[in-house]
Amino acid sequence: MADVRLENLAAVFGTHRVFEGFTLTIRDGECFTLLGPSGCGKTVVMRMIAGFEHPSAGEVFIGDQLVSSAAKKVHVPTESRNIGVVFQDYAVWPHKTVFENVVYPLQIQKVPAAEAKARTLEAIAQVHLGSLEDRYPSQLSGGQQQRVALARALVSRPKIMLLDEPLTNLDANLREEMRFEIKDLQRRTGVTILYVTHDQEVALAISDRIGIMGKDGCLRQVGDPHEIYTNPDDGYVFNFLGVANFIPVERRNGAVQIQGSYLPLQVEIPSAARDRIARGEVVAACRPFEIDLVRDGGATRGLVRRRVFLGPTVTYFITVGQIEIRAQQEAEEAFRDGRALEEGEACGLTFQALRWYDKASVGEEARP
Amino acid sequence: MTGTDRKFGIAEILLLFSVLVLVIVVAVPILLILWNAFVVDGGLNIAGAVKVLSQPDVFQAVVNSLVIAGAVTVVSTILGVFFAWLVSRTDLPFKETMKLLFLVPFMLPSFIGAIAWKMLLSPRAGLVNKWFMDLFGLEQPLFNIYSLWGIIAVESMYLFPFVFIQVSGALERMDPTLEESARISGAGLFQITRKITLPLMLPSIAAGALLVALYSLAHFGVPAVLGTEAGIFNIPTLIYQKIYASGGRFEAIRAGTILSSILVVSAALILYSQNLILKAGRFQVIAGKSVRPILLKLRGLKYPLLVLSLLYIAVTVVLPTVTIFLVALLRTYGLSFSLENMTLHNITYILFTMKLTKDAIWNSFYLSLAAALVTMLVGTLISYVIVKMRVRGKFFLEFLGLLPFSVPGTVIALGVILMWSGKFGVNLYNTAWIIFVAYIARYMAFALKSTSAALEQVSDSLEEAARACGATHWQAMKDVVLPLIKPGMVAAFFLIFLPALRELTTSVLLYGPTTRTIGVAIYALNEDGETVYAAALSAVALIIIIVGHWVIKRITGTTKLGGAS
Repeated sequence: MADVRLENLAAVFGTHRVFEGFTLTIRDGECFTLLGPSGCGKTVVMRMIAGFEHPSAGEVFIGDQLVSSAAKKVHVPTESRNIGVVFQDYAVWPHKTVFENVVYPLQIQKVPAAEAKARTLEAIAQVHLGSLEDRYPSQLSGGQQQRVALARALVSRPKIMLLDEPLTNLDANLREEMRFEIKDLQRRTGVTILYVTHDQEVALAISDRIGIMGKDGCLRQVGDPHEIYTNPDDGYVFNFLGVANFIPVERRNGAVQIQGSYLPLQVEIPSAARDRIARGEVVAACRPFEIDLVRDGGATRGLVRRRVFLGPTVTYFITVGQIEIRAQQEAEEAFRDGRALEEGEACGLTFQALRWYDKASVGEEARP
Repeated sequence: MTGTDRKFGIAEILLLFSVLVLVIVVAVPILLILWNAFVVDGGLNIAGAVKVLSQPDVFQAVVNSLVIAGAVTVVSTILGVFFAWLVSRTDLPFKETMKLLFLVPFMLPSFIGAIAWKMLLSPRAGLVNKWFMDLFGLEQPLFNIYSLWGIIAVESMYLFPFVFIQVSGALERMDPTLEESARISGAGLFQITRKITLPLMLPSIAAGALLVALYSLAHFGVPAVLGTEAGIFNIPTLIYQKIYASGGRFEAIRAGTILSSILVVSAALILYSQNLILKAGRFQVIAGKSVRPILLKLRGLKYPLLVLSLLYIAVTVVLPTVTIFLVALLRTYGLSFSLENMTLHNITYILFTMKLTKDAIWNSFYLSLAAALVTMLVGTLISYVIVKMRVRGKFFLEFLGLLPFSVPGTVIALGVILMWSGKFGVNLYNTAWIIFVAYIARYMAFALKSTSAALEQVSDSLEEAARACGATHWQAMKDVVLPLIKPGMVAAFFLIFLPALRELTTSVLLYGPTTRTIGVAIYALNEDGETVYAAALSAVALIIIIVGHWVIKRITGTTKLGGAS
């Protein structure tokens, strides 16, 4: 097993700079997810580790071995890196059976036939495809093909597995099932995993650590899922991880108000934020479920424009002054207690907690 | 894309090799033609070129080529569009069978067709003409095939499938909702056809028409068989005539290069406009999933139109083919087709006794086989570099890869004569090698088209997955890419082998005393009045072609794997 170190990597295609100065260490045996919107360069990072792309600058280490370096003109070809790769489109070879697909890495390594067969069948069993080994990929479902790809990547016991959006093409149920299985496989085999995706749910579910990439190819924040979810460093990360309200605020007569209205925000405001609010540098942010809704009272008053029933929850689009805020109630309770609001009804909002982020970091289009 | 580790790796070697092949086989011959046409004694000499062009016979040939190509394009387009519409947009009975039948003229070599029509419609001896004159006691023949109209008619018969394929394909791919929404808006079927369907089909029609124009402009066989007798020459036949009449004098070669330059430039223009049209039309034809077009009910016309279509096939395909086979069996040309005049002697004679035809069959076989094999393999390699590799300087190869598509057979022949007759240290003139080199240039376009289409179907990740499994570049190619594109390679092989087997245009300018091909032998026998032997060899060629097409169908049908993605 091995860690992966990326030092000052750059990817420049012609005049287009995908990223520069990209530095990151993926620890031995962890499941690390690179999370970012499409086009941010996360796949390029993965392809550089795999050796499919040559860095324009910087170095890649796998364990202690320098595998890519633009300056030193080092490029260990993909086949010598001892990695496993799972592609978004499965890349299962259509002219080979499941068995032939999975055994291929062992044939290349010239593993004796009997051992190769045993290991292949074991890998096929590991991904729950036992008894399907003689099928051709065209006879398998998408999920099954994805498992073949996983088995093929695992069979040679690589030091590192690279997974590029492997679940995107699967339907929701399969996606959930497969993400448990990937996590489970990683626990059993102890392989280091780099998982590349734009799906924050998968990232939160399977990762030991997550790195969030901006549109500009910069690494915005690295941390474990809980830390990243509860303590996003900036508005971009906050927005990327879930539905977010950003509320522009201003300070008037000593009180903090929602911009353009005279509606005060009744929350504790940390002293550090106060000066920056005064200078108009920050916005307030919160999740829809961090707002309590009441029919009467409440310091901030708004008007329910639209109510959307989503099963377990009800989402409201509420106009406060000139801005729109999304808030949420537990559906079951709200209807039972008569707290559910109607469209066109006035209501009061109480913010349980607000975060304060730089305006600049919010301005970016973060949703994938 | 982002720089390479080694200065000179596998990618660079393959690129260099591909560029070299295309430069030597295609680019230099074309440059030599242009050089010889416009450069005299080291200086540009446009006036000299104009002087050659203003010679009456040269000028007349250019005019003839344009007139023939223009008329053939118009007639083929009308035929192609009409039949395509008939089989894809009406309730004509036996549509699927008819669709296949309309493609048969494609298999028939047009110069063999021309020989058959000469047997039927030559002014004095033509069977149909004779029968007609006897029947009505007339002095004048029904139709003189030795005329511009004869040439135009015969070429159109065998070229209209170009339009037919393009248009029927587009009609089948067209999103039916486009027509349905017009119908919902209250338009009648005639109005829909005129206002919606026809405009949408225009790019495909134009693309097919331009293919016909390109082919006809540079076509040798039909004008050679039907025009020479009446003194009608087009550009390729005049080049042939000049070079043979002069025994290879420089003046003749020069006139040839100037005429060839006209062909090259028009071909380039035609291909360029075709690209523009196809690009502009791309947004329109994209298919909906369930294609269930509105079918026009032919009602009372249903069977008359079926009969008309069958009659067309009978006259253009069955009649000439039967004529060839019957004449092939005659003891002497001119006898009536009664059983006592029939013999298999002609066939056995040309197959086992006559040196000319025995040589020709052998030459055509091994030349086509070798050319098809080499062109297919080299073409696969070039396509691989173009489609799959990322290597600096690839754009140059992409440009070179377009050249083979735009070079007519006559031009290739002249180009290889200029290049390989000793001026550059290698003299292949009068050997089989010069024909081999010319075939590679002539059929490279087929190989590139078929193999690059196959390679584009193979997603990059399939090869990358093999690399990640530990396979080297070569292993990944051998284990993953090659097996997946094998059907495309087999198709490319036959796409070259079959046309090469009956090739005439190029070989007629290149053959030596011992290197006649089947096409050349048929042409020569026909010219020398050995009509029954010409027919016998044509019959043999037709049988080989039919068997070949059957084999292709079998092979491409069975090698297709279930789920090649």
